[in-house]
Amino acid sequence: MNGVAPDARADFEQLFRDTRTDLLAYLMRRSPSAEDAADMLAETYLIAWRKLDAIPTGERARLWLFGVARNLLLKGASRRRSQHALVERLAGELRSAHPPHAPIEDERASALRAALTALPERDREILTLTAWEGLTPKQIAAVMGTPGNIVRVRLHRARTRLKRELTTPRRLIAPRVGYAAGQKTDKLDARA
Amino acid sequence: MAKQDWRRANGSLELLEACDPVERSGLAGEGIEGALEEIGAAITNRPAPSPRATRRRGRRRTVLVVAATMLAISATVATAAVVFSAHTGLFPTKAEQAVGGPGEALNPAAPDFRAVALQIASDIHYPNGYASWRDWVLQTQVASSGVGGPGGSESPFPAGLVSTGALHGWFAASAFCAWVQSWRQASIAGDANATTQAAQTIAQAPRWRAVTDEDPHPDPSAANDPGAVSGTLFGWMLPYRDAVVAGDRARVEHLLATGYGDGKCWLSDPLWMAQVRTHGDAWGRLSQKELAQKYKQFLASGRS
Repeated sequence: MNGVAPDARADFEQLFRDTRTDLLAYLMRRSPSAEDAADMLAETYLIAWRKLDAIPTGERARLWLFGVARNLLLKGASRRRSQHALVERLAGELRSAHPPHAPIEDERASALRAALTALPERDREILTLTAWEGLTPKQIAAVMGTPGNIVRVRLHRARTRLKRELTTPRRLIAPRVGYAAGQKTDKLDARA
Repeated sequence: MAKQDWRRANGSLELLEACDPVERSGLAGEGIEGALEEIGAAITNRPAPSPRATRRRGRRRTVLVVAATMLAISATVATAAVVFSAHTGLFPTKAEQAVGGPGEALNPAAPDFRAVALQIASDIHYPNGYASWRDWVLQTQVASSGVGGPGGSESPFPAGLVSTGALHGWFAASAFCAWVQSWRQASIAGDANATTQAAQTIAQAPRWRAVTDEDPHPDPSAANDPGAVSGTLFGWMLPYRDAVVAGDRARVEHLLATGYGDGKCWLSDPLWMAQVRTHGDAWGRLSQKELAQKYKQFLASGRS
């Protein structure tokens, strides 16, 4: 075959199945386009495949993948788009499921987006990893390579800042955080 | 505190959660799932990384995965390919260099590749008795860079090209490890001249051009990708160097057996690697610690 032990291949395939939707959602929330999200998803798993013996076991494998994806985002990996047919196909499917048009959103969602964008990037990242990825401070620490106690302190401060931003009147409409940001707000609408 | 507790401890987080821009159910569609399956299959159908590729960061630079693209875009390449020399006249972009190393992309399947590679390595000197280590670089690194792949030796478009910078770096890593072994043996033999010569060479190694072309400031503690070993590409050289300069043979032997970061010198040692191959699966199942113990025994017997 291709020189990979059957067990290692099976483990990787299982990891891929278990984590791909989480990783895709993570990248969708932070990428400027569906193409970028699809490309970085493929790149993340390709890096993992190349570093099979560096992937930790158990739950840490998922966090390790988040860390790789985060690094790609930080490095602006989307600039070196692969243009691979399979990536293009995934991007097409994502565009169909999440059309990149600006939605009509309610006042609360708009205010939250503005408040979020006004925060320092570090605060925004910890808050969104908590709220959107559902990660605990300990897990965020593993993804960011930061001590857990520091994440806890930062999360506390970030929540305080977000609260303050939400109660401060803003005139400007903040830009979207990522491709998917500002699209689906029906969950909020339903609660409004 | 339970996850739900701390998440619900603040209303702004709940609001943020409600504003999640991605609807998870929208990612579970048949079309997206199918596309993901295909990507997964494409990845796992790729050739496996060589053991070295996953252990030493420089080995990741073995294959210029962009080779096919480069060949496709450059009209002049076709002319170069007809001649079928190791020199392709292709120079990767900066982004490509980050993956494949700097310099010209060489074709390892070309008949003159060995001569070209040795020319590139001509400024990398090995200690007496270690010439086989240089050949080992060509046998292993070039073999793992795609020669014999789909392109094969009969094709002007091999599966992988290798950059002169990466090749130069492999020779530097191999020679460095050879000098460390040489220093250890001279130290055991009480050969002061040989010990001094090896120590001087090792001390200068982090400033070799082959090293600084790829890693201008080797640093063993620099942060790296999550999950990867820390340190810059050649940062692993410094702990070896420091131990040698300090005359600390026990430390050198510990590093040789366990490696530092990505710097597992045993991977450059053809005698040891031959033993590893001989024992096949039996040693393949050993932990790194057990393998290190085997290498210590090898050092104590075969190399002393």
